[in-house]
Amino acid sequence: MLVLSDVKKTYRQGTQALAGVNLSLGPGEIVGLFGENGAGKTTLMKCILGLLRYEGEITLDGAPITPKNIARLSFATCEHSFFPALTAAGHRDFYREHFPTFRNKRFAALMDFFQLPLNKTIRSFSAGQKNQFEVILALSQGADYILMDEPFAGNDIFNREDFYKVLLGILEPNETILLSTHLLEEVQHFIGRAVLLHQGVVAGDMTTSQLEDEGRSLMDYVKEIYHYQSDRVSRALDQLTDQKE
Amino acid sequence: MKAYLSALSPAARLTVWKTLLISLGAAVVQAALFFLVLSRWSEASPPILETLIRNGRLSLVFAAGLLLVCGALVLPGWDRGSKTGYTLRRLSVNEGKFSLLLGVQNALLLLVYWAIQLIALLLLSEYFLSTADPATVSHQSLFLACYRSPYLHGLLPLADWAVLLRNLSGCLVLGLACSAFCHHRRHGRKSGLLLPLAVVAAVGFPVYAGNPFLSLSSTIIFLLICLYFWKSLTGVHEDED
Repeated sequence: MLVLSDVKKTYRQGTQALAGVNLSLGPGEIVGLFGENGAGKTTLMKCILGLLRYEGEITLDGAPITPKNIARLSFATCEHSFFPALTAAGHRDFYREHFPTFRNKRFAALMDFFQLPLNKTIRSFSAGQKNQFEVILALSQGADYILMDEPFAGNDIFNREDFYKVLLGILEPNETILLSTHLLEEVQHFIGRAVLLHQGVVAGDMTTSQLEDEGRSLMDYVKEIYHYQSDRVSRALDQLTDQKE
Repeated sequence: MKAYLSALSPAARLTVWKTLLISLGAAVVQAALFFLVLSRWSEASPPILETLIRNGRLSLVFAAGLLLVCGALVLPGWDRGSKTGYTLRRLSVNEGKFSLLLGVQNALLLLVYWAIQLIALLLLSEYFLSTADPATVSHQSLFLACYRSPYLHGLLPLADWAVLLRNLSGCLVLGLACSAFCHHRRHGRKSGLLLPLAVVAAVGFPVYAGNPFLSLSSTIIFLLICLYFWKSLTGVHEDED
């Protein structure tokens, strides 16, 4: 169980990115992390991974996250974390050496699924291929908790949809996914739980089965939490039209 | 230790071949300049080895090559299109120790650069001495040139252990400076010591004042800076983001 208790993060320039996040992620959950730009999604993931200092407590099965258990977490980020001068095969070997639970079979299958070349440096990959490779590494590391931050920014919809289907087929019961994305409608049938961040705190947390029981869509829930004003477009257009006159 | 060596391998892949290419390139340019100066020399007054080295401006080529090698050694820290620090900091290796070992790896590559320049100059000297008029050279010519030419003395200090220590500590401090540059960049910080150190090393290498005190002073300063790097790489910093 990954538990975050009152996690706060204030950057040096004074911006408060997280204002006391409380969240628990259990084994086997597929959780969507949503929020507007600047809501703190990326900061939250970096705090979990120890890439940023924070206040509060983050534990993995009761123990703080240290180099001893960090291998139980993997990270796919749109900023990318691979070595550009290494080939895909070089990454596979590197990960094998550092992560004893590396999933060779899954790596090969996903490389094949995305049709990525094994012996070309990642630098020479297209932007979409780089995203795909980042995700492949995160899924193949053998981690229990897989954090994905906008992993498919820049990929076409067919690749994304197919990937979600493949992912559902390959995930093992103990693997937990925390997926940060803006693509609500795409992932609503893939995730089992939606966590909504707003101004650095958890503003909403609901399972998709709860939503189904209540007859609400994920989009409705998000709009409700963020107090979405459906008439904002027409009001803005009215104002702009007035200005022109 | 195996995990550390493995963690160093992506950096090694990025720097080893480039260092070798720069070293060989610098050696080729030095050879070309050496032969250019030699070909223009009047036969009436045969040149001496140290004059050829000085007039060929071989030390400038060495300095330029050294700066290029330092440029190659900081490539693992540039993170072009990828934040490799996110991966390095998720490994079970201690990042401070990793950076120190990367500094040692860099120092070894700088020693390789030094060795290749030395071999190149010894081959050029050997060629010159074997083709020169026997009346103008002796078996002592190379030995004497090593004490007369500041550049040749820097490359091959012979019994001058003070210069040898200066060079070795210079390689170590430059290697650590390159590693510290990469380390601090991964953490979003700046490390401004590399450039001045590289310039001092490049300019100071062929300077020989004939006084061991200066060489020993340089060695002590270099070792103190190494100590600073050791502390800055293994210490805890408040400005992690």
